[in-house]
Amino acid sequence: MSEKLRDRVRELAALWGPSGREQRVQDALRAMITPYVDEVRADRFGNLLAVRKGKEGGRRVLLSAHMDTPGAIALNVSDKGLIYLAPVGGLKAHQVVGQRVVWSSGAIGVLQYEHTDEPKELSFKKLFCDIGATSKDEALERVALGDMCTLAGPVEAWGDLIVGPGLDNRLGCAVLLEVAEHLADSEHTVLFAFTAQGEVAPRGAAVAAFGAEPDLALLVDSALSGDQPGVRQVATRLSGGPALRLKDSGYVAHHGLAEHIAAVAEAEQIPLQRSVSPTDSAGWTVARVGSGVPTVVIDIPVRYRGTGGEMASIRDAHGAADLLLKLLGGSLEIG
Amino acid sequence: MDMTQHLAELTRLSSITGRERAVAEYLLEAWDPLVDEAYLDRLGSYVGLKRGEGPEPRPRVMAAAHIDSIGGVVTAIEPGGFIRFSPVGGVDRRLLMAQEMEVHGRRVVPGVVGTKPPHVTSPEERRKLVPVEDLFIDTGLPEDEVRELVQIGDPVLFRYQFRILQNGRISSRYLDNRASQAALAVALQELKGLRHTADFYAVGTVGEEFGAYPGAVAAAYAIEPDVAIAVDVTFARHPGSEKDAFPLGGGPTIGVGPSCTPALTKLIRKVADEVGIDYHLEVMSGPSGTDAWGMQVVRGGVATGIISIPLRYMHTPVELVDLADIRQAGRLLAQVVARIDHAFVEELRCF
Repeated sequence: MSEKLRDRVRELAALWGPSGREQRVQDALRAMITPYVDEVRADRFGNLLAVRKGKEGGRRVLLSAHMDTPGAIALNVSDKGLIYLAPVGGLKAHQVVGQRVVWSSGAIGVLQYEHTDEPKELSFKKLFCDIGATSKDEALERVALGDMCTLAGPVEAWGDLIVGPGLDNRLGCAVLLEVAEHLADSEHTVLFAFTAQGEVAPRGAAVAAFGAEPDLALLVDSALSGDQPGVRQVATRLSGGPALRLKDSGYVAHHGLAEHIAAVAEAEQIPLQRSVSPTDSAGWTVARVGSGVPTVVIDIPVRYRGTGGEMASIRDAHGAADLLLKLLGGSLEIG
Repeated sequence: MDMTQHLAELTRLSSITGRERAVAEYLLEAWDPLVDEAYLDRLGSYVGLKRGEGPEPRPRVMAAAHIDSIGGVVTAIEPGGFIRFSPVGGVDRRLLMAQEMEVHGRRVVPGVVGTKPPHVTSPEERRKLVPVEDLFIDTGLPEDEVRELVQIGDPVLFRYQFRILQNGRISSRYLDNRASQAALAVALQELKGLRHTADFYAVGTVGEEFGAYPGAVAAAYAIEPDVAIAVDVTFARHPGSEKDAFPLGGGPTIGVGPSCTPALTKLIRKVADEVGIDYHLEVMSGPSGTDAWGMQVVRGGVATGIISIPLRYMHTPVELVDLADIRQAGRLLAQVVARIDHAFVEELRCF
């Protein structure tokens, strides 16, 4: 299944869809998942929910992955036709200088800062996007104020690695598709949620969870890998397997569910890393929905998140899909 | 139930946010004689129900006392067997150096937080707070044994030492918020001798110290209470902490502010006056930092109140409380529950 998974990641990562403007991704995912599920619907927030019905006595399991990527929004345009922007989600100015971006209109631009500026003073206030326009009017014909752009660039396969922008979290979306395709008759009802606005706040996952009314939730996200130089306190690495996120900046994994996942991984001999992440996830927003949802986040480790050169291992994504399939194939009565 | 024994056991159990199961299971057992039924909910919060008199539907009163506490989790095991960790909840970073800890792995492993001796520390370093990333726990065990016993994500707690001081005062780790479980136990005992129409849900909520009050929010969603009261600890006076703090042994505090529904606060104060319980009014101007903040906006809104027990040295291993304050907080809670009837609930709806 690796070939198809790799192709899916590359196809999904190339789709345009910053936080709040996920429609194109939603449309593509709808078409891709429809053959494998019993019903598909979008909610009013912009989440896509696909349901694969289980059997009487099975549990309702939410598999959720945010489908947006971070981007930037046009704030104003100078007389020379240069577009000044604000970040949407967690892009860092110093990490995106020199990167190409693509706007909703399809216009391509490069991100740069004034020649005389010191790089250490770099912030989004100083950053601009040059789309090659020669005047304000010409720029505004292709990019309106409030339009968004995302990082552009090729998504390449380097052996087992995938490199390019948008891996966070189209990796998670691809894993969900892989699970949907290979899910044999499961006693459990599986609720696949591709959520909007995961890079801001995050917001979509809790809405999806409320609508799905799950007994438990497994969130698939892309996380800071510990083997990036300078990253401390994170014990993960690329190709070490998916990671069981036990705690992050706002969430603690449901202990019973986390231990069940670890036990299944061990029994099935699927490499599984354990991580405590300094970053955020939708975990804390989902756990408190309704009467409470036991929630665990499973991560695909990614180096250089939020850049045009995000790097991940297809083996880790494969492991995550494998693990989820094994989980769904067994009992999910957890203590 | 002997309150000192109850506190000794409650603070002995592992309870960091996310790993509250031991406390919840202990409550199932210890409070069994005090409630009509009890269960652990989907997130692991303890729910004990003491039914009121009269026909259904009865008013529902929920008291939330969080059963989790601050601590840490293991983030990495390094060559030599040194354990790196990351705080959970509002840990005071200044206290971590040279602290005695327990790592709750396959068994409880004692250890100490190692630090660089002053002899080899530069004057500049001595002035600065050592970042948590630079600290580690030394258990004395060789690396392979540490790896055998401890995994990433395992809880790290301050070492357990329960100190019975003079004058009815206790010092221990995690009196925030085990003191409030003790108060809830008092309330349940008191209610045996009182007539009450309301169903009383004594809830030990998970996840208060870190996150967005998931335990209290989810429990309130499931229970659908008419009234929800958070029982927590507050700052007690000591030298250097006089302002916005309350006398130890001076009785519980009653919260007032946006987290507290005025009609309920009024009732709690009235009850305290009538039964002769000393209290102080605690002004909480913004988010109260208690479960009340989360419970207040569940479903169509819940009338919330806050009763707090003064505590010194919050979020340290030597938190200090006065048993009399716990008793009075429990008594007050029971008396309030006994006063909440259909008429009061109706009154809350008409504004």
